[in-house]
Amino acid sequence: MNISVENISHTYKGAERLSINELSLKIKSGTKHGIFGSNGAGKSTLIKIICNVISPTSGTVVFNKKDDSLNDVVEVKQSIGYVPQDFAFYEELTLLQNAKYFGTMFNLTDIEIQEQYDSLVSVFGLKNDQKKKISSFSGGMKRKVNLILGLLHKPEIIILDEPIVGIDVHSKNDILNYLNELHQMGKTIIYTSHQMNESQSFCENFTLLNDGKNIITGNLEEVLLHQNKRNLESILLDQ
Amino acid sequence: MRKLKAGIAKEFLLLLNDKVGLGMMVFLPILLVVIITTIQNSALNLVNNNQIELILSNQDKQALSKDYVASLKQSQLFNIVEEDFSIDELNNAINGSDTPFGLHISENFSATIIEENQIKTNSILESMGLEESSGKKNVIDNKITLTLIYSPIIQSNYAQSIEKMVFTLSKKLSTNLFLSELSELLEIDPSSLNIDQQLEQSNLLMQKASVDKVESSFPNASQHNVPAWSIFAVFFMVVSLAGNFVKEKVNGSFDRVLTMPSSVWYLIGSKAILFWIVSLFQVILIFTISRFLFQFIGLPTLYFPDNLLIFGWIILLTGATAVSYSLLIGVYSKTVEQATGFGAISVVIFAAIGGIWVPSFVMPPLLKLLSNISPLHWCIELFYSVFLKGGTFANLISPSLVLIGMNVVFFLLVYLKLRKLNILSK
Repeated sequence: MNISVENISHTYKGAERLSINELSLKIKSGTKHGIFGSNGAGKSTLIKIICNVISPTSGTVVFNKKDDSLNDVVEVKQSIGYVPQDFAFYEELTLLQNAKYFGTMFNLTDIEIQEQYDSLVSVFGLKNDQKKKISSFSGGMKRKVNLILGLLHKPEIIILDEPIVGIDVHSKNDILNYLNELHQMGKTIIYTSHQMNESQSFCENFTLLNDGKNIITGNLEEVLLHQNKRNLESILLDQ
Repeated sequence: MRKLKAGIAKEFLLLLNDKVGLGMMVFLPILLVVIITTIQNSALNLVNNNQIELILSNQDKQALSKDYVASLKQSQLFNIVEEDFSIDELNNAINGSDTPFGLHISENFSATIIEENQIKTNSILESMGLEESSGKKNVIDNKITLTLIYSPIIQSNYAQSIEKMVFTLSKKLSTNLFLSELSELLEIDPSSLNIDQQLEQSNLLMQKASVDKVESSFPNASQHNVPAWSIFAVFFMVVSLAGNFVKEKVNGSFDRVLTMPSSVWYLIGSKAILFWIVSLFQVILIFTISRFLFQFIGLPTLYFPDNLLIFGWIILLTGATAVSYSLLIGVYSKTVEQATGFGAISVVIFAAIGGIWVPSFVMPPLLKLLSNISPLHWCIELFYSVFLKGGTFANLISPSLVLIGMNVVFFLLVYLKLRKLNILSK
């Protein structure tokens, strides 16, 4: 499924400047697309607009399946797996209790929830912690939970906002390895991170944002050439 | 429906896991009702049932003052401790003890009554022409013969009631003496007149009756306090419900739900339904304890109205109003602190102006007017109409309509805010 972000703008209530400024962008189906930029560049806002959490002030986001644009909101939502930067779940509940709630909201049957839950818990090594409340989990484990809840319904597009921030190397590897597996299965992955080394090695295509504008979108070589830099980190350092 | 059930199950688990919130919604209200009822019950008992503690100092020691002391004892209103105190000593004794009243009978008590009666008798005989004018004065000097001392913590209207009782008994003594003397002068045997009996006897009877038609013969502390503080407890759900709603907005789980093929109304609806059920549970639990267990802890039993259908309607409407108010606070608050702080304080203010603590009819006109904006005021109106006045459905129509109107306004404001945030179109 391709995503076309068409000339969108957005401003937060009471803010003086636009958080997103007439931004256009195309994300190809089955790619790993990194969105990067310094703090306040508009990464999280762009992701929330693509996920339909907030609405743009102007412009549209179009989802194309083959050559047809997808107008059914339910189908679009069913295709997206959103993994926010915050721990967006109920820490007072267990992982399974969270999975049952969010899975049901994704129209999954109890059997589908259980199957997908068992599989993901096994992948992320949380089998022994199933009966514990999430509040007792470490930061790394909570990041995994955030990811599991975004992947329960086997989405075609996975949108990750800082999925590896503040976690240990092992957890980071577990998450990135699994995302690579999903990519090989044909999933589209949209990824933002401040950790530019990981982003550079993980993503295929990149969009550099500054002040809510798309500075450049392309593969690593094209972006580096455009910015006349040796790596992504040095681009950010100059921003 | 499956999503609604999943939402309710999630809310239920969250509530079960929130021990403090659960305690605030279930155990604190029971404790609150028990404490407030106990306090008011003991205050009512002090006024209505208990003998009033009284330190009595009789400096007169004549027959009349002894009769007077005997009549005070016979009244069974007082538990009298006799001491030989001056007024100052009696003052100190009241100040330094829990005894609320002291009565000082001065040395001239008997002499004053006798003198007063002689003047009255002479005056009557002179006016009837039975005795020549003696030229003596027929004006009674005001003399202080009784001094009632009361503790400063006693409310003045209560002290005035006691003062009237004490004074009435002394007047009765004086009247008895006067009639006896008059009958002797008229050469009638006073004992044949049965003066005491004649004075007591009256065909003017007074009946004590409350406007209530419920099982209890007279409103008691439970009948007043249990409904009032149950309403307060139900509305205090604002801390849990609004806080819980804002927490979801802040931690991103609300955003996650917005990305799902599901309406935000499932999220709101599941919260509303669960907390509505909790409010019913709260009221039923508190009322059941008040009905069946209060008697074992020395509190008056709460009597239920005859019409349980009306009672059910009132509980449902009260719960619904508390839920819609809590959702309103939750939707408009930006932080958990805002929701819980503003929510709790607003409920306390609504309780104060709504007549939960003191009836709104004793409030100044401005507060009485303001009480109309308090949802708790209309809830208490409903409860009192059935618990204290034995009201029917007809009596409930106007407060019910006001509460239904408030619910509509609260939900409309919730809807408008969600629409403004573009959440409803997600």
